[in-house]
Amino acid sequence: MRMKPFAGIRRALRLGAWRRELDDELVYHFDRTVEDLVARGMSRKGAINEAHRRFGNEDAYRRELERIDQAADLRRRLADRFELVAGSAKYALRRMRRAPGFTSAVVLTFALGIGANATMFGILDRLLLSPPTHVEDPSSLRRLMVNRFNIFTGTRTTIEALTFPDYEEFTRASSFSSVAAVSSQEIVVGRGPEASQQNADLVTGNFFSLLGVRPEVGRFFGPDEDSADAPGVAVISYGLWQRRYGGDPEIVGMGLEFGYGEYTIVGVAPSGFVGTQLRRVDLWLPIQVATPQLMGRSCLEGRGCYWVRATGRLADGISPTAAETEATVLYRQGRAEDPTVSPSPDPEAEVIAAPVIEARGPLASSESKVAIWLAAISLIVLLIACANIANLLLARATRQQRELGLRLALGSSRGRLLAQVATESLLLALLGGATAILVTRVAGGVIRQTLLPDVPWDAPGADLRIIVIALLLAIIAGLAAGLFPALRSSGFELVTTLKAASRNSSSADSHVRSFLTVIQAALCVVLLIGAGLFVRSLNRVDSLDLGLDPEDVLFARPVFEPGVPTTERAAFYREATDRLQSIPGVSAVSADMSVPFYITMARPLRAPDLDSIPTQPGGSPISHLVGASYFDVLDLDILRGRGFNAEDGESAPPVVVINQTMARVLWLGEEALGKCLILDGDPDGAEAQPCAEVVGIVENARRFSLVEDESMHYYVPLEQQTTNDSPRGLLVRVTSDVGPMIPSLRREIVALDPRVRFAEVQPLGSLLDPEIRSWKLGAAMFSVFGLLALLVAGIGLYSVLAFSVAQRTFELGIRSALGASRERIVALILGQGMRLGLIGLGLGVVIALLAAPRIEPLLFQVSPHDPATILAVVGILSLVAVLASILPAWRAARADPAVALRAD
Amino acid sequence: MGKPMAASNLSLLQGTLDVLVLKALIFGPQHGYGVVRWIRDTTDGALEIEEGALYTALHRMEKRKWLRSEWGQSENNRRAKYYALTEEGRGQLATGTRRLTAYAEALFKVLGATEATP
Repeated sequence: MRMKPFAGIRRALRLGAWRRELDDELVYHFDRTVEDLVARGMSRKGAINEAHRRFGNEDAYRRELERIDQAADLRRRLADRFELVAGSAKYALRRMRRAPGFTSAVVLTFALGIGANATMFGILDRLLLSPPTHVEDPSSLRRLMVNRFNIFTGTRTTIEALTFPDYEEFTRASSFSSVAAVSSQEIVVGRGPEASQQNADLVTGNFFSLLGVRPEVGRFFGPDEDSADAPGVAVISYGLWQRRYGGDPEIVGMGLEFGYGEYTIVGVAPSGFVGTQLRRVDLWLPIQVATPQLMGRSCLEGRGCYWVRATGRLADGISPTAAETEATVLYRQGRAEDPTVSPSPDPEAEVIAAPVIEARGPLASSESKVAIWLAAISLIVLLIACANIANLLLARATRQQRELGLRLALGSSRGRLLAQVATESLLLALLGGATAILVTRVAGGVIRQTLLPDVPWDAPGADLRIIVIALLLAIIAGLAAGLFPALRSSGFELVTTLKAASRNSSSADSHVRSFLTVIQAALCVVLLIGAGLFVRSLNRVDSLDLGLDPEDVLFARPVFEPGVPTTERAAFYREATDRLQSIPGVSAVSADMSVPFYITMARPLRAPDLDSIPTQPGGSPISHLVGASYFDVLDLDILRGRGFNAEDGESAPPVVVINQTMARVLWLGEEALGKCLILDGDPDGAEAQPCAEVVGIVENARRFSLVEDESMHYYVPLEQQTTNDSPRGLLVRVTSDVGPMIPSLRREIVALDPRVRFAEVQPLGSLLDPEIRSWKLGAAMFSVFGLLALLVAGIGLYSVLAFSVAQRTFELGIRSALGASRERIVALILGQGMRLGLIGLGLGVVIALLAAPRIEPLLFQVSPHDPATILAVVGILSLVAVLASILPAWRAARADPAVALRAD
Repeated sequence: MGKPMAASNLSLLQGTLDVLVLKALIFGPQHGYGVVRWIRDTTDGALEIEEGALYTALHRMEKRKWLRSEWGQSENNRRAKYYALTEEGRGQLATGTRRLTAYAEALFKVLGATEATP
């Protein structure tokens, strides 16, 4: 029996090599057996029969042999594969050790690129991507907001704050299976030195079941415990449980003392649970129990306080639009039927059912918008890093072309070489990724604390996700940066390489490297322009003339225990004013009912000589009940007339100070001093009210935010006002360092009266911090990333030029030998560097200008085309290009032509 | 005439085949046919082992790395697969030989017994 034809067919079918070998082995066996038997005198036919008899059941043995060989083959191939990987890795590690400078440059570049991205991912993940933790099916949850006319700003705005009766209307909507109300407050827990301020959410009893969250310890409170006469119960956060109680498992049943009453802890929320928004929450209280103590019953009953947010879960099959329509009808009806609603109900108010992730709703914070930009930036940085690494690897591959060519000639397969280069870049990237995780931990921590301090970051599992992302990025970046050089180094022609490698690299190669350099420079320019624009925005914000000067002013707010009557509080403020005044380092103190950026109010006002008070884009006149030193404390200039003094007491004739805008709007062109304003006057009231004389005109000042329309303000001495309210806090101007003054003021205030449980003291400017933060975030991040990119791009340009000079030694030697002066050679290399730099610069400026309209809304009084910024960046990049070119150029000029020409 | 069952003349203990094959290779690398031929010649054909079983043993032991193989030139100038013992194979041969010898000795003792058991 001839087996060869079968072997041939099998070979044609490209079956495994082992099968061919088995065939060959058996064919050999049978051939030899037959030959031997024939030699011993057997007939050929007899010999063949005998051979088969001796072999046994051929089919069965053949199957058995195939089974064994197939398994052996698989095992061998796996071992080979492993050996290839291990061998490549070993080889790569050896190469990395041999070039520590190169290795650390690449690893660091990876670390920065990947670290920046992982950090950004962590932030974006929290701001934009992550649904609130521990909340069931967040997609069917909706935050209910109202778009309505705002009497304070005089425009239509969307606000989330609702009155409690408005919320109650929503609970009647059939579009929602349930609607909960939440009000975020700050309360003082404990007393005396133990006291601390905590974030409390007052919530309706259905809050926890609505969100579907499960308690970590104990239980949550329900609707039956949410009534005014129920005993006080509290749920504390996991964080507070750990911080204040050391995670005591016996926590349930412990008492919790607030400034307002005793509560019993019934449960602990799971770690990371903060409800549906991004604010740290330390405890939850039943809204019906806590509100009367905190702010009075009236806020639960009337439409006077805008203080709760409503979150609803859509009923099955109801679209958000349908829910909005129903809620709008209920909202308008409720307001139309309520006689106390003032001003008249807005018939066009519309309810908006927004998604729970804040950054996706209409009230996305500017931080989250900036964060999206930052994500884009960090991607750019990663691109730059990849381009730079590709550049470095390519340079090395070119330098090592001779070695690689030699190895190819010696029989290494191209696949093997490719695997080696890819393994090497992957290893570098993974090392970079590991370093990046360190970078992320440090940088992420810093960014969170300084730039986004209000966001709760303790969501479980976030760190693990970031590590996974960092490693994924490392693998992708490693392949991207390594594959290109790897393909190039495996694709070149063997012979030409061996012949010419040392003298000149292929021109395609240097084109690619130049292109990568240009891209780096361009991206770097984009980042630097962004950085410049944000820094200028921040400068504009800082140098903004707020009218008032919040620097060196502290805002102190005492927290009284429950039941201290208003009159006694007012007396306390008088005493505190005198006491604080006498402390060294304090120059002026004022107890006020309105505090800039914190609280102001509008009250009815009438001018007897005018038909009506005109309104302004900035709204109706704002009233400020202030202490006598208010203008001194805030450093507001009295332009004409006088400010207040100690004589403007209760029995003195009533006086008022108005701001520039008010003087202009009310009495355009006329002398405002001496005019009469009737305060608190009912618009159609009688003349019984006394006239307050305008005694001074003060400069305009901001009321709530950095950017607001000019509005009319008037100031009234607190002492002359009969009001049933007490001051809201003390404004203190200090002459010494603000930091140490804070604790000493706190001590002084608490020591004055045992009924004051706690005093919050903070720099007045810190009330503006959240507003400035987005610009700070932008300026800081763009600057850091921009400088990083500049450094990377500068090194990239330098390496391209240095490499090019090394490659062109021969050519430069000839030029020099033919009489080119040193200046000429310097100019040649400098020109090459500058050309790359300038092309990148041009490209970057074009990209920046194209992106301008998108970044404009994030800037503050700075045009995205700001010529000063662009010019500065042009200058910086040109300078870096010159610096990066000068050393290679100098080296080129110094090269001795004789040495250069002999080198090969 | 039906095919005789494997080793019908003498039933072999499991692993005996392996020891025979390993022993065949102790004198140097040999191709499969050479192993078969050596065993047949040495036993004068008394064992009547099916040759397919010998190849199975060769391949199995190669997979276990007791043997290694290489293609080479045979004595009649053809390409043949040669097997050689590895270190591990030598160890296995020593172990196997000891075990078989002990077995055979025990067998002889029984067969050569002259007294009935008390």
